[in-house]
Amino acid sequence: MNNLTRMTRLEIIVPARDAPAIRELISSAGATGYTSVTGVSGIGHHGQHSGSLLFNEYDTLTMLITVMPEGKAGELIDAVRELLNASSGVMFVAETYVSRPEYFQ
Amino acid sequence: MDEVVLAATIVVAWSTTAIAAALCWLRFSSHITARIAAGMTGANFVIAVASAVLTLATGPVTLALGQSSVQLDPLSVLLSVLVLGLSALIQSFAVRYLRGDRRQGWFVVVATTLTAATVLLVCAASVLVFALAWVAAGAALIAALATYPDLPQAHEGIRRTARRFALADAGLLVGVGVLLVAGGGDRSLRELGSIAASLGEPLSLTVAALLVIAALARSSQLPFHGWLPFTLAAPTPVSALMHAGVVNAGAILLVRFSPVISVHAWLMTTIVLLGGATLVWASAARLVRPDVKGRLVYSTMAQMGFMIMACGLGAYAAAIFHLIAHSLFKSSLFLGAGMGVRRFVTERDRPAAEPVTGVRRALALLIAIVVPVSGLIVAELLLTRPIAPANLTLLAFVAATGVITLAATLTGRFTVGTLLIGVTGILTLILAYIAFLNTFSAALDPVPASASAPAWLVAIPFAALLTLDLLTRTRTTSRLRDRVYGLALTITELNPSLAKGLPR
Amino acid sequence: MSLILRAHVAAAAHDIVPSWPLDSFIAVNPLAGAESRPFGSGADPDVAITRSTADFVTDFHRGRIPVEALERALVARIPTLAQTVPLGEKTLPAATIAALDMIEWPDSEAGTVPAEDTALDRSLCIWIAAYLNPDPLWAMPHRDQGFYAAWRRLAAGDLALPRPSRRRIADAPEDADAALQKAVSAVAPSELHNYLRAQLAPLPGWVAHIKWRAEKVGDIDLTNYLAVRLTLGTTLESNLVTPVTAVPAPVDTTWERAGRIAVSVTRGAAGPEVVAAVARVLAEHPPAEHLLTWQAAYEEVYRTELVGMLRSIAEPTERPDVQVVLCIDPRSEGLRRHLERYRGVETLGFAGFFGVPIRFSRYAAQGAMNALPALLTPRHRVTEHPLDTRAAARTVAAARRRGAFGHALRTADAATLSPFAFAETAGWFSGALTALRTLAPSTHARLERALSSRPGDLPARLTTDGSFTLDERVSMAATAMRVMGLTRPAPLVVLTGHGSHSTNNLYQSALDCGACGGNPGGVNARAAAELFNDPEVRAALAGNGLRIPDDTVFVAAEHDTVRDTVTVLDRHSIPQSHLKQVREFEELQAEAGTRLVTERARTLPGARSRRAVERVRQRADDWAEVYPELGLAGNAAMIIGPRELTRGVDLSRRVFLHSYRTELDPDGSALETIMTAPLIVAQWINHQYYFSTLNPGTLGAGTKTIHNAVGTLGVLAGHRGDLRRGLPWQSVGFGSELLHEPMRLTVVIEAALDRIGQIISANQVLRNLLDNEWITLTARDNIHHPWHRYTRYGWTPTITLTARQNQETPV
Repeated sequence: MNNLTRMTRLEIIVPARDAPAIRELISSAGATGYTSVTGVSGIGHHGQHSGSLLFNEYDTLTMLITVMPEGKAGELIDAVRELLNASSGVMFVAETYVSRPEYFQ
Repeated sequence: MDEVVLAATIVVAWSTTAIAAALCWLRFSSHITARIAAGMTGANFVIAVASAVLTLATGPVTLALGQSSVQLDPLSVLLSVLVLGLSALIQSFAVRYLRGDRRQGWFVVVATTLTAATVLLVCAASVLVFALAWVAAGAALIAALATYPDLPQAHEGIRRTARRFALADAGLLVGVGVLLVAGGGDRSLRELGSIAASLGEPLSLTVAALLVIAALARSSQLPFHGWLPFTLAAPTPVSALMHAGVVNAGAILLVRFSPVISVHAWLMTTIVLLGGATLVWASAARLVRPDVKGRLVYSTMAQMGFMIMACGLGAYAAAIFHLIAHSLFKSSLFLGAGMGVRRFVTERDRPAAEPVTGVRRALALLIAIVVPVSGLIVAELLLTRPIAPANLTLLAFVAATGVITLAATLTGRFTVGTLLIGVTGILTLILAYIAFLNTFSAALDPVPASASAPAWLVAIPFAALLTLDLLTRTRTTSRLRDRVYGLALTITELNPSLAKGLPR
Repeated sequence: MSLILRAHVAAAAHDIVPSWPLDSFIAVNPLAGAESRPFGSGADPDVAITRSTADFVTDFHRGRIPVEALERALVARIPTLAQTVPLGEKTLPAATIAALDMIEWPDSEAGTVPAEDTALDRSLCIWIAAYLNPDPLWAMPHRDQGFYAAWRRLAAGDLALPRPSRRRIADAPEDADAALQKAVSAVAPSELHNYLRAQLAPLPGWVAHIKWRAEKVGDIDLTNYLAVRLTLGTTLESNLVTPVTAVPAPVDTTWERAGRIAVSVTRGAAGPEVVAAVARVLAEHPPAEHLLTWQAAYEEVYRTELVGMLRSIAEPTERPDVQVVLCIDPRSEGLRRHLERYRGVETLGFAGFFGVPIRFSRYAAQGAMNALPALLTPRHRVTEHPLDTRAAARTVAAARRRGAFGHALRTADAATLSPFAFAETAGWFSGALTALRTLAPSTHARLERALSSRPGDLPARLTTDGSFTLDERVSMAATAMRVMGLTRPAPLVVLTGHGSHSTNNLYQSALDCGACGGNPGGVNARAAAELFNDPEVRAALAGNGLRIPDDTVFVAAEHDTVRDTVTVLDRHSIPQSHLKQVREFEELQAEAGTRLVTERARTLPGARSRRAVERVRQRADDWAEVYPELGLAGNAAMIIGPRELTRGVDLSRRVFLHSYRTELDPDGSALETIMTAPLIVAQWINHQYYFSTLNPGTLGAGTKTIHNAVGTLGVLAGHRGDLRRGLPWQSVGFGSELLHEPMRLTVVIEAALDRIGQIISANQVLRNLLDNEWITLTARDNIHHPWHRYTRYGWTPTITLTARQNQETPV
């Protein structure tokens, strides 16, 4: 494509109380950053999830999005998969293209 | 009249114990028993104060029962007021603190026994009475450590204490036995000098050494120190009572048996060296402990080291002065061991200090060094007659405290207000301290030591503490510092079997 | 590779519940990791999840658990027991037979021999405590490099260890991840998860604290902890985990039990078919289930009684003179009851932070506190601006001066050379102060207060308008009004936060408001009052349909739960027009408070009837008092609904009360807010009290009398050991009696059942708690409908007992 670099995008949706562990893994994997969206709602394997609650950020779902080079991503994917064995949550891995690769190296 | 008062103090103390024990045996409400015991101890305190007034006015009183005797001299009067006052306060505290506790009754009986034994100890005028009271106090202490007998940590504490006390007190009884035999029965403490002289050098030394060992073990000094840090599995009032009333018994022994002990100069030197070593070692251990009560324990050990060191130097009045002030101080700290969270919350709300830097800081430090030291020198020259070298060397610690306190004040906030209050405060305190110490020594008027360790020995622990202080502040990497830190942290807990890798 | 190891560690630590430090003590359910599983399933044999069978049987014989309740609980848990069983000539309901089994032949309990401290655990405790020490006299060298790195450097030179051990430590990797990698290299990958879990199991107090600290502070994490533990373990060659020996419970076979019951029922004429029939019944309800059935029956009795006490009256129509909004805390229930004895007083219950989550610091203060529930993260910082800046400057200067002297005294005590002469000087003063403090605590407190005036005591305004935008403020005000159902504000609305004043109490934060992060709630009340009094906010609210009359003034106050006094805050902001009403309110609260103290004195340990009020109030200043107040001991239920449900009913300060009106909540969002926040906080508190009462040695902190604080992190019991979690014995028991009845939270809601059901299915946390029976829920649509119980299969009608009849009346 037009001067875009291919990278891997990970979207991880976990209960908010498990998000710190995922964030730590993302940082330790060498990702240059991540986006955190709190209060996501939806319906999933374990049932319905309501979304952002006014007085409770602990029992809601958080989505963490990070983009990293394909080489580095493999290790992180394995690690997150291991963690998701113990807690509920899902991970989506996709190819993505970025225009500023230096931000994500 | 005075004899009646003397008898009353001792009799009331023991009756309190008896009544408490009886009430507990009859399964009376432990809350009411505790209040009765505290009240009786308080009444006894009033009697002791009255006797203090009488004695200081009319002179020492002795009460003899056959060959044994008890007395009210300045030392026993001061110490019995201290013991009874603290015991009444701590028992009053424990009335509420142990509310509902299954073992409140046990505590009351143990506390009153400890008090009674200690009162008898300080009032003892003859050898046998002293020895029996000493052993009784030790036994009461061990019983106090058994307040929560189900806790494994309590077992450990009892085991360690019992072992050391048994050994040391056995030695004491042997030594006392020799004295009794040589004296043909129980003799007054004042006649010890002649009895000791009649013993001949090696035997006299052995007896003195056994007595010193007993004193060192009771005051948790090296090498018999391994019991005090393990006594925290008993309720706070027990710790308060122990640190305020029991561990300082070592100095009392050294002062009362001074005619026997202080004839041997190198024994006095050993006392100073061991006291000094404990002082340094316990200070290091205290600096690395993270828990409140652990710090207090090692602080007590260091303070006792200071006190024992003073005894070895022959500065008996200074040692007793330290004993009394420390008892009051340490018991307050133990009782208030739960104030940490409130203090944190209050500190959080306070405004931050503005740092004092550069020229002002240098000026602050200069003032902080010059003012207390010169004030101390002036006060000593003006007020103290005669000036003993032992007291002078101990004053080095006073100077250090003055300097550090004023430095901390002025480097925290260097304004006219703090300067004025700080300087006048320190000078007033120094003056008051010297004056008070001198009055105290005059009132106490202890039997002077025959021989004492050379005063310059104090420089050794002082220098060691200074080195320790520098080590804690150093910001560069230093293997010595790491080693000292690691050692201070772990050696207090580890025992040889850990090093061999066996779980214990 | 190490990344996967970190993931393994996080997975192994997943069920560990982070535990909060003493200075902001948040109640947590120590078994929260198991909430996604049914209550009591897969329970650790060491952990008691209900009282013992012996206790239950005693309660049965006392009459606390009638046999009908037991049978109903059996049928509720095992529906097949609803049938009747022919036994020879008689026919008995199966439930009766099962009940007989429980009562007549109680099981003896299995137990475990408690594990002894290993040398490794003891050594680890020393290093962790030294590393995490918040106010060290000698800071740990190399602390900035992380726990493992610092430990490795110091332990390698530690002369207390033998030379071979030291060499092994010096040879260990420098980095925590590498060290952990090396330590688990011998463990098979399939076993790794269980191995790590086993390594995290000893020292649960420290591990829970480290997990909290990894998230909130970040200077230590579980990877570092495990690296040190495993490296130290291999160096010492000691057992890494002490095996726990289980003591199996002697159990009769079902046949034996059936035989005995058959004999007792048929009075000797029991043929084998009868025994077989009985055995079939008993097989449905095996001994492993008995305790849970007892617990269910125990709770059902209370629940039935509670629901029977609730009223069905209409909402009052006239406008009250004063409305008092208090926290949902059960202690507020007592004050609300006593305040409502006066005409014109209406009370409401709302989460203690009043919907204003902030991080607050006093004027010019060096530290800040989080005044919000633990379920939220603070995003707004608020402080105060004193009204008189000159007086403020003077006070700050005086405080700084006092601080310098205080710092000097602390340094004199803490430095290396100075403590000796310091003790000789300070001892005399502290002796006198101790005497005063022990014998006359109130006098001492008055002296202290007179000598320390703080900048925070100056009249001041909060800076909420600086930290929140207008929209945010309007939204917070609107939420508060909708959630608590405040439609007709009275001329005076008193927002009352609560705090607890006690002395020498390491657990003082546990007695403060849990919704305010374990801090007193006065600040949030002040912030909310400022919000509601702001004309811009009122104008915007009116635009949203929430009218606040012009003559309404909001006033902030704080309820001291030890003294039961309500102190009005920010008096300077009260307009002239309302001063008289505020004074009248203050008189009211004084009387109500006195009556409440008298009521509390009846159950407070050691409180005697003579001069009870004065003595109980004095406990706030008494440093020897281990029972300053009962806190939330006895908490058993939460009621979400209008005050008409409970007005005038004596709930004995055992119930969390949250106001709610269906009519004001068309889309159910207010109910969802209540059910997913205040209810969760109440559940955390309830479960903490529950498990601390049943397991004082492991999940509770044991007796306060041997507590030894590590800064403000937590307490040790004795001279060493694991950090203690949970509540001390003095919060839940007195002597050997219990002050707290361990019962799972009974939630009662008056709202549309459909709406409740929707909210539950939309929120995993509620599904977990309710379907797995960690809490129970009873609800009704409105006063004209009967009460229903929530079960995972739907709503079932409940049974209510009316006090007079005391018979079962199916509603």
